[in-house]
Amino acid sequence: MHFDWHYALGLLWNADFWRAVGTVVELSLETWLLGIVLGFLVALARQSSRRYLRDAAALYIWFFRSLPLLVLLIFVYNLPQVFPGTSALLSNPYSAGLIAMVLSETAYIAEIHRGGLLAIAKGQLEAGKALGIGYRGVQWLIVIPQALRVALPTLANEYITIVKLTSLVSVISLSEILLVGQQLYTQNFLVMETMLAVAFYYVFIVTVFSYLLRRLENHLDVTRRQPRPVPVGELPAVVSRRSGASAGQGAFALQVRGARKHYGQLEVLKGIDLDVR
Amino acid sequence: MVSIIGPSGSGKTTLIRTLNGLEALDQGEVTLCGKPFLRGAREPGGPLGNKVHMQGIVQVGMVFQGFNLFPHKTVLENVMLAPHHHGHADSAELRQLSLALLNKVGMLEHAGKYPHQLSGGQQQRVAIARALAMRPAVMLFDEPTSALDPELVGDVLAVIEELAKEGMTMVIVTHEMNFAFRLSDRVVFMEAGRIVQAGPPRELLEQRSERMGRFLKDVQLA
Repeated sequence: MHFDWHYALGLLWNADFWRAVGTVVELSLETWLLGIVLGFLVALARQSSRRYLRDAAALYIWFFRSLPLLVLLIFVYNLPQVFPGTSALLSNPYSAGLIAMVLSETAYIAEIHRGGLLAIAKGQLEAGKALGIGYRGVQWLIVIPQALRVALPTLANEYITIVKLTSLVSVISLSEILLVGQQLYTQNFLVMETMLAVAFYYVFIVTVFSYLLRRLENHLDVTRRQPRPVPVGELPAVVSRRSGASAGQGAFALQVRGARKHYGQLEVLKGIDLDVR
Repeated sequence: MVSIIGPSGSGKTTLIRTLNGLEALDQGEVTLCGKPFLRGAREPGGPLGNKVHMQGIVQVGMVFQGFNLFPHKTVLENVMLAPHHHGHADSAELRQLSLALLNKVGMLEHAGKYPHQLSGGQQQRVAIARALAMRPAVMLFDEPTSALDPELVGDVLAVIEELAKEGMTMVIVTHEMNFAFRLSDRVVFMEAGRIVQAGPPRELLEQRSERMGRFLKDVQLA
């Protein structure tokens, strides 16, 4: 058996490989972040009370999860053959690869977010609503921070999947790690040595980012946080507002007339009148 | 202060949840400080729009059985969140107001903690401060002490009692009969979706119906 260790180790200092590492990190991070944002919108649409939104989101997820990424990549990259107008954007393998990967990952990440959204207790939404916070405010202030925290381990896992999926973009001639390796071994036929270096670079990226994502997870874990002292200063006096003052004497703060409510067949309120001064 | 009492399944919680629109009414309407606030879906004209609801709901504070504090925010951030979102005042002013409210419910020293670091009774007192921070005209309490162990109930009731003495308008669904009969201006007894009897506590006790007598038979009213 002949294995050229000297050559294999030398590849760890290869400038083309390190440029390719940069490309892979950039492509995978952009795919991941765009997928998280767009996937969240698809996940919200999937839960919407409007039927057309729900159906559109379900259709999107069904279609792009069914389509192999490799097929989608070749399809997107060759779209300019049919629509020449798209060639400025899609002839560049990086942007074609990014678009195809975002389309596909958005569908997967939408389902991850759905899991996170389901984990938010209904009481959280009610508390937000009772404080007069609208739909967007509730999502932004209350739901997203909690849902992201729940989904983060799965999202970190998906990031690792994305790093490895970038190797597929080599078929549309993006010079990422695998393609750089292939270009080398088609010249010198040292396939095993080159692929060892290729493997090293993927393992390296995944190791570094797993560590960083674990750090992020711990940082966002409120159960690990220590209480901080809060400087108090001088406090104003607070006295409850008397609603009588705003409504005028003799008026009612809250008045209920003939309230009725059914849950299906069951009538739970059968005509309630109530005055609260 | 109006207390709503009655056996389980009598519609108490549903009623209080319809008062701020967390449950939609089928029929009937609710007015808030003399202005239309909520209307049933089957009333002529249908329910009032979301805008009317949102304008009214900021005047109605609600305290839940399960506290529903935001777990990713500190105690102080929980209290500040809503008035800050609505732009009631600048951050520094809201911070002092929120701290003052936390002081009022006896939670000032815990302002920097997260909800999971607090007991149930403490969480509920923070939830009361959070609702008060919106300066509501009316406070609704949906079984505020039902999820607490008996030792912690007193702390929460003391806070509510203080509000009652200040003249805050409150509607409270409760199983704490002593509390309800001692402090309420009116007690409402509900059963099977209807108000069976209502009136000032003393009057109600003197003229209690046979059904209400049975409901209260095991309660030692002080």
